[in-house]
Amino acid sequence: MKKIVYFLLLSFLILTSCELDFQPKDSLVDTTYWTSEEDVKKAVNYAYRRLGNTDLQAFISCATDDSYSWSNWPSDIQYAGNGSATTSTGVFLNTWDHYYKMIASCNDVLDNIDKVTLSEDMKNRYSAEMRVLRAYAYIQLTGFFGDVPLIKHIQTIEEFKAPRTEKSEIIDFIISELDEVTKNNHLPAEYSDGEYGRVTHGAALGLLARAALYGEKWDTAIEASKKVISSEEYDIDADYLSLFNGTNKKSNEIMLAAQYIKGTYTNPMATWIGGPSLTGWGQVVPLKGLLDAYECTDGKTIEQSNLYDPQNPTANRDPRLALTIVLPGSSVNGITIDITNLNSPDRLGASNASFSGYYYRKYIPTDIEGSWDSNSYNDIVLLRYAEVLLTYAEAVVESGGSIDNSVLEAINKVRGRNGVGMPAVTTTDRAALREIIRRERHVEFPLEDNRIFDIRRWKIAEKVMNGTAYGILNNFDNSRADYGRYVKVEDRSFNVSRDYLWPIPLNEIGLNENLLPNNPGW
Amino acid sequence: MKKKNSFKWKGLLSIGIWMVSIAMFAQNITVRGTVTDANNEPVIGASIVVEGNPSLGTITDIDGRYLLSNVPADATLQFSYVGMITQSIPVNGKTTIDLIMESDDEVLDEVVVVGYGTQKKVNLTGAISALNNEELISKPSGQLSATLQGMAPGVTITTSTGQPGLNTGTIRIRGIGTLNNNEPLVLIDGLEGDINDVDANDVTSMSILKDAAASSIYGIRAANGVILITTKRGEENRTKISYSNYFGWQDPSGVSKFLGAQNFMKLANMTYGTAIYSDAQIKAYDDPNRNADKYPDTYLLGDLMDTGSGFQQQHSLSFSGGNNRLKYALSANYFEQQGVIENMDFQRLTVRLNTDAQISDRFRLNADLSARLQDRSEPATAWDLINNLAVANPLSISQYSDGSWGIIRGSSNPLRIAKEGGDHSYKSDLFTGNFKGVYTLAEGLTVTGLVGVRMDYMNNSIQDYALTYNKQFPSNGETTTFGRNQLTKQSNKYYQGNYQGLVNYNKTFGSHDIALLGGVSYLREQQDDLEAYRYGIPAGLTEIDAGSEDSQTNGGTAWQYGLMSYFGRFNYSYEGKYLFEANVRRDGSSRFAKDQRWGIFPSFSAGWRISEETFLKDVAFLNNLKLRASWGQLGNDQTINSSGSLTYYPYQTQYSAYSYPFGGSLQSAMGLRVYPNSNLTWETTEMTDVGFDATILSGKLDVVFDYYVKNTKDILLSLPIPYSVGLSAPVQNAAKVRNNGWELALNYRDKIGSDFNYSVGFNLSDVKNEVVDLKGTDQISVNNNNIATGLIVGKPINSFYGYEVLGMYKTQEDLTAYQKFSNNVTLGDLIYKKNVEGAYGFDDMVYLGSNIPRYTYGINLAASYKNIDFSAFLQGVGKVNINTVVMERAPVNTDGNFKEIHLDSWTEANPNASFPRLSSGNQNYQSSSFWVKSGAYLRLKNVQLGYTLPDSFVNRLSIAKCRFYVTGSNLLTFTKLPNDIDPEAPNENRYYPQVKTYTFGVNIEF
Repeated sequence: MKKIVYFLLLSFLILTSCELDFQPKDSLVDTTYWTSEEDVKKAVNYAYRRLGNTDLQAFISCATDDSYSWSNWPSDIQYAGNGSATTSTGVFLNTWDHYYKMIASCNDVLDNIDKVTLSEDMKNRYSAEMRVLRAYAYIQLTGFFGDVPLIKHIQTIEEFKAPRTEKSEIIDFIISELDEVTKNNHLPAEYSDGEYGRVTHGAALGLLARAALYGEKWDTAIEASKKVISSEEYDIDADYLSLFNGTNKKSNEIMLAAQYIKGTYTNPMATWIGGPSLTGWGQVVPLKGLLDAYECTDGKTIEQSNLYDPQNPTANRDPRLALTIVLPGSSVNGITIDITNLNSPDRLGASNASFSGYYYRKYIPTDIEGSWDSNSYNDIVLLRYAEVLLTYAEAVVESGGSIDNSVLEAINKVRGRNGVGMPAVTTTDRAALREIIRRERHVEFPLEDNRIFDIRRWKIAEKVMNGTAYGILNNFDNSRADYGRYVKVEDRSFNVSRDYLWPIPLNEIGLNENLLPNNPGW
Repeated sequence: MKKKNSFKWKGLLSIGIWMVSIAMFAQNITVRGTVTDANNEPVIGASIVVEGNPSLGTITDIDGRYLLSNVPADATLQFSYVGMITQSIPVNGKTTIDLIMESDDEVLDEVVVVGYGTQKKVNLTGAISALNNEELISKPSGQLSATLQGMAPGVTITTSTGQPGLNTGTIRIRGIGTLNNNEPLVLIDGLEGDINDVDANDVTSMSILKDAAASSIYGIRAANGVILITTKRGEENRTKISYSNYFGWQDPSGVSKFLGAQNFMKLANMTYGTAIYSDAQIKAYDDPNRNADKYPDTYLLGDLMDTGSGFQQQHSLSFSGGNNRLKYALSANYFEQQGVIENMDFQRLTVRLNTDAQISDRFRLNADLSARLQDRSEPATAWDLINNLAVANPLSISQYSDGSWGIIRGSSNPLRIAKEGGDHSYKSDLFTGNFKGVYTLAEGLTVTGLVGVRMDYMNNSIQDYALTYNKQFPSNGETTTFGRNQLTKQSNKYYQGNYQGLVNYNKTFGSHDIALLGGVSYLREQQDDLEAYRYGIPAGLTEIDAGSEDSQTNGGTAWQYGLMSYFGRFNYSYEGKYLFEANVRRDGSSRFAKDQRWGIFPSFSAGWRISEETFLKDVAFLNNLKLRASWGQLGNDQTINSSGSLTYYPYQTQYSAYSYPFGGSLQSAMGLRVYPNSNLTWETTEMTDVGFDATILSGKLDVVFDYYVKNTKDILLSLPIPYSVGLSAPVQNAAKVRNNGWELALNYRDKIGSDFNYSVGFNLSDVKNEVVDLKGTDQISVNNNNIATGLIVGKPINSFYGYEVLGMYKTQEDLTAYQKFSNNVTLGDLIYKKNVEGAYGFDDMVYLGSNIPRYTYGINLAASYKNIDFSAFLQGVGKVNINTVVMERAPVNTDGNFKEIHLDSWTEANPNASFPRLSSGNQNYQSSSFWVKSGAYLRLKNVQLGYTLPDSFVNRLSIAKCRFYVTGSNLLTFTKLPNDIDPEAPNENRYYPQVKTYTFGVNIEF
């Protein structure tokens, strides 16, 4: 029995030397991270994950005259579209949160890259990738919110309640960042196949042109877009739809896109924009406002053209209309979508069906596999050559400089795309060209990044975002009260003194009172 | 597969029953009788043994009755009971011996389990509620946690779902002390575990340690209270076999009711302000013989609630006994609960063997083994099933007249998914081993070593099937397929090792009693998770290998935790009148960095049994009065992340692994997600408690009262940080919270005449919760449903905030007089009070109430007359707020359902409506006083009527006792809320509803 006592006493001794130091086994800790180039590359890759966010991208279109969302999910965008939004409307916080996360991921690399020994070239390249992504995030943030906190490194606790920096100062920062990266050639013109998707020299220039255009720094915009054009790295693709349906991911036209892969790295794009026939939820659907922007095939607007038939409004129109929007009776991936068939699941009033009567075709991948899951794998295009061309044209027109042939060439290159083939623009009248360029941007980029910023900087939002939003012409269902007229989707209102900027989100103000006062009217 | 399993388990039970039936007992003379105390109360559990033959014995039942067979006619029976004077009565051929036992003033009352030991209840100086087996099994419930509800003051259980296997409820002891994990520590025979791993039938007693004095021996883990569960052990010379069962049926309660199709269309047209549905379509519904395929009028949520049988059953079988060297208790319990929704089932089998071996005079060994096998199943996408149908409007068709399935909400059909969309099964096989050796070194001095292991193997199989639907009705031949034939298998292995060494020393010197305890313990936990996924699984196949290889993905992770502790306790009492106790514990947790790891948690308590003083000895009505006071500190090291799950490495700056594609193939990515904070340390709760225990009116009335103040500081909390930081909030030692409250328990028992016994129990408690300090980070935040909650100094944790509603805009003057919330506000919308200039914001929000319940109470009524017994249990909350916006708001589009209240919404024709204007905006569905309502309720939780077969009848069957009973649960509810909101679990149709249960059961003892 003595042995048992010894055993028990011994166990006391064993207990005093027990393990309490445990490390995570599926992630690295900062004491060991930032030691190798591999660490840098992985952290850089992490920042790229923020490029795509399909709960925001495409949905943003519903805050413009292009699209409507029937659902207040996932982000309340409906209220941002019809003017009933408040500071607590979800899309404001989601957007704010998303881009600041992207900025933090970039800042983390920039804060720590000096701890790692690697070649000057690689250090410059990785840093430049992060600086460009960070600049992109700030372009978006200033476009949505105006003055925002300018954060250039991971904040210390004392810095948490960062005040707002003036939008113009942030634009200067964006421009100087992109300028420095491109001037010093920190980024390659292209990457090896396995690295495709990273920020290139051209992408940085393209974003520089965009930032300068948004900031009305015409000369910078002209200079940057000219560099892209003269580099001859990029071209207008012969197949418009292929840029968005997953079949032409490495097109010469695409300059920056959020990358996806079938099966393993996917997004729910088709679920959001597809109709019931495509097992989608019809959450983002086109409005009459977008359809009306397409010219007729003669290059004239629907108000001016004789080809326009008010009873058959989609006939004789810019081919991009049918490429962007599913017209009744046409098919997508072999499935007929005909909302005028009153038994169709896509018909007006059916569950998850479009409230406007139209669906988007653009961004539907060619072989989506059913289910509400995220099974789309098409890349989300963030910047393409067509934009750089139109940026160049717009910047020249707005700068007051002489309108030479290069401006018309730039516009006509976009209009003359194979499969689009719209008549060439010949006028050199500044005002006429301004209208043409604006219309061209409108019909070329639906569902892409640009429209909301365009209607804001052109100050046309008060016109296009006010009044009733309509959908399809109802010439097929006489049981409806609107037979013979356009289907009403919703009433919208736009408060000129308020709605040109989104508010700093309510929850953020609750955490950082230094952000007050909020934007005018909010 | 499930069916086969349950068959196996039932088979096991029938073998058990068969074994019992062949256990024949030879008969000689049979003695029976009733044992009562001086107050004519039955003495329950008194031991009766034949002198000189201790293997022949029994104990009295709940009514004080006993039956002892095979007794030699000339034997002497020895009657004994704790706290009573032992008596020996010669049989002399009598077959009935009734006995009145007298209380022994020297030995008092019950023994209560305390940390690392037991104490006599009268000597306790801490606040402890103890429950015995009878109390626990009187309310048939599959989950032990649910039976705690309303049974002990200061203990609240809230259940958010009635789903079989998930209906375990949340236990809170004395309010919400912290902003992170508030779960109490549960120890099963000294080993950390989950309260629902034990079947109620296996529990001898449960102690709930509420104040610092009682629980601080558990140091860093005890701030939320401690629940000690003791399982049944064999008793010397008492062979006992018992069997009990019950069968029950459940009905859903509080399921949302909606308006039919015609009203839906009318209200939808009002919502949009335009005719979405034409008059012709609405009129078509006037015809009862209309084509239901074209003009459907459905209530799919109701249809779902009828798909399951709601049947439940429980069987328990136990054997126990032993001699002075070896004792055993073996039990098996089977519980099965089928949902009110098809394929939502739960089964659990628990088997336990507790053994006590006296190896030598000085060395005793306990070896306890238990297994708990459970299987919870649910259909595919169960998390979304109920919600999906709750918003499916009445024009949605589940099945057309030709039997074909309809597509609901444009994507699949939840009713069909529930039936054939897949099988999700969550299995957990838990094995525990608890080995304890106690060596007596000298009189009063023992050394104890304990090793406990706990292994939980969790295997989940999540299989979904693609479902094909006709695209339209009548079908044009085109079909649409939703989903994939996909399968996820998850394997999680949890291991816990627990090592303890204890030294106990007890000594009495004259009038001085001392007890010393010293101990050391190490706890280690580890979990390993592995997951695999493939799709393309052919129908009927259930394994990963059946899927296509190019679809495979996998994942896995692990965590570890360690806790090292040293502790000691000193008890002193003088003449059994003056009691004193001191505890100290030092803990080191692996959750904190080396320098912040260790914490010391002391406590002191004292008691004065004032009724033992000579000046009170002669006060006749006062049988016992004890005053208690305690002070102590407790700790908490549990950290949770923003999504509410426990974290294990909170102080470490982690780069988590992800991936991102370049050039069409994935590259690995690693990133910082959470803001680093390496300065974490444990949070501390300081608790002061004063109270008294009294027994008055000749022992008929017990009163227990406690008042306490509980201050928690350095609360471990993911306090939100500005979003512009770009990283998730880290856990910080961020806040101070104060809970103060009181608890009162009254228990009165008496009898009328000789056959009618009754008792009334009442408990009431209040806790006032208040945030004391947040380091200047007071904040309100709004969630997706526009519900605003605040962390504001001076107010309860996460209390409701919102706009104060002044009424509705009724005139044009109103529209100009009051600021509008948003652009679309017009007549019929709610007017929110404006407090400061500018747009509506947090400055305009006011405190609207708290969802932390106050004045929670329970009432226990019991009565018996001869062989009939009756009991009722009521439970209620006196003051609590709920935010009903999600439950009561009207849909803003056609994807939703209207309720009765929406018929009375504002229109020009109905200007005095109770509900605001219907519209597609959400201006009326903000956080406001309109939606925050009183959730006070009183609920008849349980009613039971029992009948015990007369001895004269059962004795012929060699049965000692046989009782039948019927029980109803949740039968009646009194509340001001609409009857389709369950006050106990108000939810927006996210969860499986609460259930009413009707059960029938039998208890047999051999």
